[in-house]
Amino acid sequence: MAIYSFWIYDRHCNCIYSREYGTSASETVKASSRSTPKRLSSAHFSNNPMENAPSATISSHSTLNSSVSTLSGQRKTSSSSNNPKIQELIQKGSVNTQNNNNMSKLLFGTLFSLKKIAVSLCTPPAETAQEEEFYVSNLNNFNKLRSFQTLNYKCHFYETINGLRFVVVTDPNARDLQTSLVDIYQHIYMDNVVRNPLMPVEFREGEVISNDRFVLAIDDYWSSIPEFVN
Amino acid sequence: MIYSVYITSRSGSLLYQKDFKTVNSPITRQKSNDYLVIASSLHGVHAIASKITPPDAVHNHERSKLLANSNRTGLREIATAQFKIFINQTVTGVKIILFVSRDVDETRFALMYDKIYQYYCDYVLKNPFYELEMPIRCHLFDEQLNSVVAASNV
Repeated sequence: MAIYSFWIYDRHCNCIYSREYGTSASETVKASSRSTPKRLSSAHFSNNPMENAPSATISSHSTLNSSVSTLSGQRKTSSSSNNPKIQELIQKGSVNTQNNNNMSKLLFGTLFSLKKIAVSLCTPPAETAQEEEFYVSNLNNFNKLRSFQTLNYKCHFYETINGLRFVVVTDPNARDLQTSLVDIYQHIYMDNVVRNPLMPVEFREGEVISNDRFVLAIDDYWSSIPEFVN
Repeated sequence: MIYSVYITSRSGSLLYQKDFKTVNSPITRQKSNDYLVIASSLHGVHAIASKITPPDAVHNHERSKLLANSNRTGLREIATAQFKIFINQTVTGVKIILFVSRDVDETRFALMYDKIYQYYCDYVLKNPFYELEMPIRCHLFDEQLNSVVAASNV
């Protein structure tokens, strides 16, 4: 059993958070070199004098973001478990380095079309444009996609009513983790992102959740469930 | 419970589609065009699913004891709140897709799949009037399929 990665997509289909666990050493080197330009770009944003209020938000993000990457030692101590294997998996992973690459987009596309198939098979043919709109929205309760799997991995999916999507990729033998995703939304996402005044309400393209407490809370949550260690 | 059976060719076109009338089946009747769309999207997603395998997970299938002939890395099972979809690919690339109720697991799927594949070989491929890659219209296959479904739907 293992957890490979965790993703959050907002309602504009942008990946706002991605987390990989325990990838090989060469991957980590690539990941750290890729994360550098991202931090630079967010710092560049904060220098923009045109936007006063948002710039304050973003600059505080960028400091948070850099603290995430520099204070990895601190993350180690604050994690709930002292199991060295868990520590290694968390240390070797990467945060927010895959948000815009092919992997993230293919995963989203797969889930998007599977969800569409699942819903369309359970809805009667639409008669009016209004009905059609209702059927494709998240407001109806005809059917919901829960997970899909291959022999290599299993992907669990949870979509909130406002279009936020939580995805976790695990070992194929894992039990149904949709309840964990609901838990993460209700407790971790709500507390650290929605109720956080420094976080934007709508994420712009390229903006990610780089909140230190959120990253730590997610790591703690996943490392505390029995599926985390192989 | 089996709700529907689809068979797609190796290029993703729909060769056979049948919805079975069962008590409170969640699957509603669609337009015939929609069935083609669903079958070909499943075909595409099947291929994409193997592309997005996490790098740490590429050898998991070697440990798996499940039935899989040429479907080692592709999409295999989709779980939704109302039903499950099982996909299996034969060695020639023909996909047999089963829409079943949520209580059906891998082992029960394997039993159904084996029977359906056997009937496909016996009554479709051995039919001298059947052309490959063409829609399946063989009434013997229909009858045998009905018997499989009737046996699993009691």
